[in-house]
Amino acid sequence: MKKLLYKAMSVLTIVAGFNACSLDEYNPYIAEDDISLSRFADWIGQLNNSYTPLFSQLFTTIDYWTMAEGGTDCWLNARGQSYSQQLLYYDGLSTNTGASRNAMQQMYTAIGSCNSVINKADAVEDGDPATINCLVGEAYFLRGFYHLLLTTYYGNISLALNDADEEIVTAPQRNTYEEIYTQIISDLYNAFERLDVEPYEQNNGRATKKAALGMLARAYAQGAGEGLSENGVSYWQRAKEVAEDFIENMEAYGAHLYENVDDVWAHTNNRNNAEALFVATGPRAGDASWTYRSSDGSNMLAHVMCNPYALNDIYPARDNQNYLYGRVNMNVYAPSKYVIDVFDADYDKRYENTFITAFCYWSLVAPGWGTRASVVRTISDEVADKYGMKRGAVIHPYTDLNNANHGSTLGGNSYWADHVWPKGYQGEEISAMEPITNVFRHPYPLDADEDRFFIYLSKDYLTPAEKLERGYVCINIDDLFEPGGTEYRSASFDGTESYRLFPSYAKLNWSREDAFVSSSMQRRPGDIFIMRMAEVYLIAAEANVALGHPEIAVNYINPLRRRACRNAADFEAHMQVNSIDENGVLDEFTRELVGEFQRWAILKRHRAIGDRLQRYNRRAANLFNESIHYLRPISSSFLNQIDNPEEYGTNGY
Amino acid sequence: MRSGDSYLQTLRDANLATDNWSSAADDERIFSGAISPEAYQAHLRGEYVDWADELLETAMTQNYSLSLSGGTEKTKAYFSLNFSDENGQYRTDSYKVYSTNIRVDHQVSNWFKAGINLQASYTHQNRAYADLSTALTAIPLGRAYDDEGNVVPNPIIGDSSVANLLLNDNKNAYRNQGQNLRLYVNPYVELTPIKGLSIISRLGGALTYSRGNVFVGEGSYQYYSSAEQTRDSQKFARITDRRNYNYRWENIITYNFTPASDHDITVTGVTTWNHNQNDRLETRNNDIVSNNYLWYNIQNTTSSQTSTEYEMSKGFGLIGRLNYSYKGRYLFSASVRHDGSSRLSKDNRWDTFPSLSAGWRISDEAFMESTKSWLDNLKLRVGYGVTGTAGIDPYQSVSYLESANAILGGALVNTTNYSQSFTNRRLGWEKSYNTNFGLDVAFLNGRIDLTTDYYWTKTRGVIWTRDISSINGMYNANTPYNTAMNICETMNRGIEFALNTRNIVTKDFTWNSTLTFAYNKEKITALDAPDREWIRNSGTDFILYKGEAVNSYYHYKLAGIWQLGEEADAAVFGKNPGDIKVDVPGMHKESDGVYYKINEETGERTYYNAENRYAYSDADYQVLGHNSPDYTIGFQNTFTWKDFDLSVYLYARMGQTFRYGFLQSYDPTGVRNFPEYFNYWTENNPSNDFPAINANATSTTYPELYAMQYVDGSFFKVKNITLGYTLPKKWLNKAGLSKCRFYATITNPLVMAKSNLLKDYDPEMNGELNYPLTKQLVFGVNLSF
Repeated sequence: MKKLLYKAMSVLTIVAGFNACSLDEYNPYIAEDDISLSRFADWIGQLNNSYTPLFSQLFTTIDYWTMAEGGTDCWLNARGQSYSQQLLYYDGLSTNTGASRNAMQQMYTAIGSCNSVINKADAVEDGDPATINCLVGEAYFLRGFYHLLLTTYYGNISLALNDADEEIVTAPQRNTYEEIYTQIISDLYNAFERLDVEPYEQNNGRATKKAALGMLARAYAQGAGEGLSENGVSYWQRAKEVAEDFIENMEAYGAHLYENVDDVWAHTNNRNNAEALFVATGPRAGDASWTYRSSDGSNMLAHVMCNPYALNDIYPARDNQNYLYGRVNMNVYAPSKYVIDVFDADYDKRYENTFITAFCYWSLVAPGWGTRASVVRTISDEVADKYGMKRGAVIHPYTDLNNANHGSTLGGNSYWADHVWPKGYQGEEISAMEPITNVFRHPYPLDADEDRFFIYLSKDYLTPAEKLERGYVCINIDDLFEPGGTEYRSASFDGTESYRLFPSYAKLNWSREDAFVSSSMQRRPGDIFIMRMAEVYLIAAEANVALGHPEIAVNYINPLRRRACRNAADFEAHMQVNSIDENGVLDEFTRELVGEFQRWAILKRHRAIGDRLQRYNRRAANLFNESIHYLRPISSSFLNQIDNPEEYGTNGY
Repeated sequence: MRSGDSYLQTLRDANLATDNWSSAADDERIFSGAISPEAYQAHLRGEYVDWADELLETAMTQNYSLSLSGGTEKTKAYFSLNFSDENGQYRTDSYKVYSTNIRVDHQVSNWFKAGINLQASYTHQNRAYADLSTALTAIPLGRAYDDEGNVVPNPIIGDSSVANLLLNDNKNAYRNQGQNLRLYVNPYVELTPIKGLSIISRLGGALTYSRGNVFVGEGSYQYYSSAEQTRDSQKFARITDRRNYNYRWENIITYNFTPASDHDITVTGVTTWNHNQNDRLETRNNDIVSNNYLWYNIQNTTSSQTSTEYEMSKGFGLIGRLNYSYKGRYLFSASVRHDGSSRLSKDNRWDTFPSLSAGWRISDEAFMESTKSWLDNLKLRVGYGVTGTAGIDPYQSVSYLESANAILGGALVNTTNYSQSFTNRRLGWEKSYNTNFGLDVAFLNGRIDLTTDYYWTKTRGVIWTRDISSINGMYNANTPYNTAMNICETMNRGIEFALNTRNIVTKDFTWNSTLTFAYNKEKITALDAPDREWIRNSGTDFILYKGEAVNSYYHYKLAGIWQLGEEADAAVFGKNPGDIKVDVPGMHKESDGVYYKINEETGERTYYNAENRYAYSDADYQVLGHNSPDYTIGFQNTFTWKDFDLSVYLYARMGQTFRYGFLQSYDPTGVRNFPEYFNYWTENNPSNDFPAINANATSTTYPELYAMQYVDGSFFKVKNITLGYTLPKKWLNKAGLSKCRFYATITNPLVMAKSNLLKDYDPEMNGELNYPLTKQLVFGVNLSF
């Protein structure tokens, strides 16, 4: 018996010995030494990671757009709503306002990756040194760019220069504006030195020399607003020098200014736009990126466009079937009356490049779903009378959305328009269509005998008699505003639902074969400008005015106005300026760049927000506090994470 | 729910508030504007649907079980078979379980015994798609079925923007299936070589294999929810395989001896080893050409995706224990354990946990002799012990590099980022120091039996994952890096007692009852962050606040609705009558339209008025309560009268707060449905529950609405009542039966919640809505042979 016992005991002991040797975990997610980034592929992965907030967060989300454009003279809530009133009107703006919280996190997230790239570049064991040098330039550029955004919106934040793997900061200290801008300028110069004129792997999403130079001009201008100088030279002077040098030598840096403003906004030019200095750019149909995540596109169009189906007794497509404009179901941000009025639309084509004011329908001839005959609408007398339009109108499609008409190369469900039917055309022949480069840029003003549009929001005031002559619904833009013109109406004023409409911002929407997402019509993944050459001209003019040289400034304003002219002869007669002041520069910024993520920053550097709100956005003016609102709040999530929240502070919120 | 006139009234109220409605003549316009012209036509035809009613059903549940036991003197065997077929609350929910339990024990020789216990079960489940919260908030217009009784794709005729929730009841278009195989094997050997010595080696192995199949095809809800030309992209098939395996191996050596009479000593040594691992394989494809494919025809095409995941952890423990008893009157025990867990940082993986306890059976003392007639038992217990927890996920104690892809310039590029969790080399065991006093009393010949315990537990180094400041970068732009920390110290104090009484005992009638009570109070006594009163991660409901329980909810404390007449005060906060009022800590009213806040340090007053407004923000959040109850009471009563038996169980849980998400589903535009008891504010209805209805409201109009979800979840309920009848023995003998009992049980016949916002809801669900606890009526029979 004892023998058996010993045997059993010894077996147990041996088995126990085998098992109890180690408490280490097997972790399949670890590759050896990967955290040191010594392999080029691991290292460049961190760099690529630092680009991701551009397209998947900042420049494709309405949150950041609202923070960058809202609270200014340019944007109001449609229907007098409360959507994002924190940012549009400083109403309840606080430490838990989501948009300002998220943007700060997104910027610091990307900076974290930039720091890993910069601090660990020397450790990379494989890879070509020249390539690595160029890519380090990208990281410097991005770090400078994100820090510039941070200080623009949040003031004297903390510079983040550490790699989280090496050091964790738990009680960050604030830096001074001087320290912050010195670092930004140094990073951007570093980037300028290292970057090439052509992007790495010819990828237009990556930073290049021209991006660094343009951003340097912007950084000096923004820093000038903080009263900074560099070795005794004011930032305005440095902004002027950088911008003027850039304009002088732009071809050498690979930059370009289109001669016709229509080309800037041609949908055909959306990818690889020659005027772009730096873009946020996402997936494209026909590319591996498309199968990876085709839905990763901007949904901003849904917020900045109105829904023409508000007049659903005349307009045929509900928002979830609007293949032309996309799923326009949010309809919250509308331009202020100031923005509409600042354009002299008789001569300035930037108006119709910026706003869609006429709404049309389309045919789908080839697949037979929508022959022209089937989509032509005859308007009943009842409806015509309701809207005060001509009786007996017959409205034809403006465009055709079937890719097969023009030879699809990318396949799949893709509905886009690059041709339009001629006015007055009655047949079904696709060959009769005329090519266009931007289907949203409709003729201005709309002809009285136009037969391809259902609704027109008229900038010129039309009398009831004039409306009665037209075979489409006319709504005067002025009538959409409350008396006084600083608020949109919140209820029906004419017995129809027309108060839901507003001039719709067009620069965030594209009708392109490679920008149509079939699974989510709210999303359109086109390229979005982060900076383009025209801004360098405006900065040159802005800096010259600030330095007391308005006569030089007009040399940088006029090229932009010349190329915007409807007819060449309009320039000398109507568009040319001979003198300009600070206010004039700010208006020109609006005409050229409204909605391009710049307005709040531009007004901030001139401390002009208060004055502009008084004139154009009274709802915000009532709440704007000069001593608080030139900074966005530091979020409580940020403060929750650090050990010194009291010391760090909320920026006065 | 709102339907017909009540739905119309809400839409009118919403548009009246924005001056967009003045008479019935505007109805058509507001319907068209808010939903569609077709919706108005449906309204005129009186077509309304109660979606919750359509989705849910009164289901049948069947349960059969059979058990057999038998054996010889040396071998004992037992087996049972069980089949249960449960049709869920949703029409397409079903749940079938086949299970068995087999146990064999064999005495090999007088010192050697071995045995095995095997439990196996197989589950087949169909899950319904539509959840109750979707159904309750869906627009109630239209009709679910056409005249022939077929489910229509779009309930509102002509409005293709709204799809029918019942579409996914069609098994050809939608399926969500789960199959689950569970095996539990528990073999052991026991050696008793000499008297008092026992050596047991026991292995407990569990293997779970589960499979999830999802199919979304043509004709499904998702399909019809999408625009016509883009519907194909909604279709997909997905298979998810999960395998989970773990085992625990224990060796226990026990030696019991009595060195002298009256002294009884037991020494025990234990080794315990556990190993857990699980992995997941998922594959998915969107190229579904035919509904006939289901998930059985997933091919390798451009839209197919595959991914795998894996996780494991290990633990080892050594335990030594000594039990000593003197005359069975004085009891003493001491033990020490030494434990290691792979989840913790390498340097702090091992720790030692001692414990001591003593008992004194007072009623056995000589001086208690006089009480013997009425006192059956009186025992005092005292204990002190330390236990350890390593409650973090595997891999949290190391950082590594993760890879993914991103899109840049239309190209797919590789990205890398650090793993979410950073190493905390100081992370060690969370240790609880528990002290316990107990008193057991039984008297009146067992008629009354009381067990009471009082305890206090100090827990040091509570493990909590804390966010790392975004200034160091973030895991991704929505998710901070984090690190597991021993973050705080807590104190739990509590009382528990159980009172068993036999109230009435007569020949034909008996009444027994059991009353249980448990009370616990937890508070955080220290935080491992100097100078901070509280620590909170963003994006969670909870906060660690000194003096409060660990899982404390933290949000706005709502103070009703701003009313007419309070315009001036509301304006100070940027609000109007009808908006939500928040209780702002430290805010005082000076006069109408003027408020001030006192700076705690300087005593300085900051004034606020309509020009210099105060914006509600998370600086105003307060602790709203905690998820664990303050106390629970259970009261079980059993009555028998002749062959009838009746039992009633009453239950109360008091003092817990939970998040009832449904309350946030209030749609102030009146379009999405909500229950009629959601009493919203209008100029003529000064409600203090829900804010003003307003056709121009958006998802951000009432940011404070989020806090409405936190409700006092205290409740009392009759949990079940069972009535049984046992056939008299004399009738049974002829049928060869030893027992035959018929019974009927009703569960949850009465539920009473403290909060008026918990209507038609069982608070025992703790805020969860989609599978509400049900009233259930069960009829059954027990047979024994």
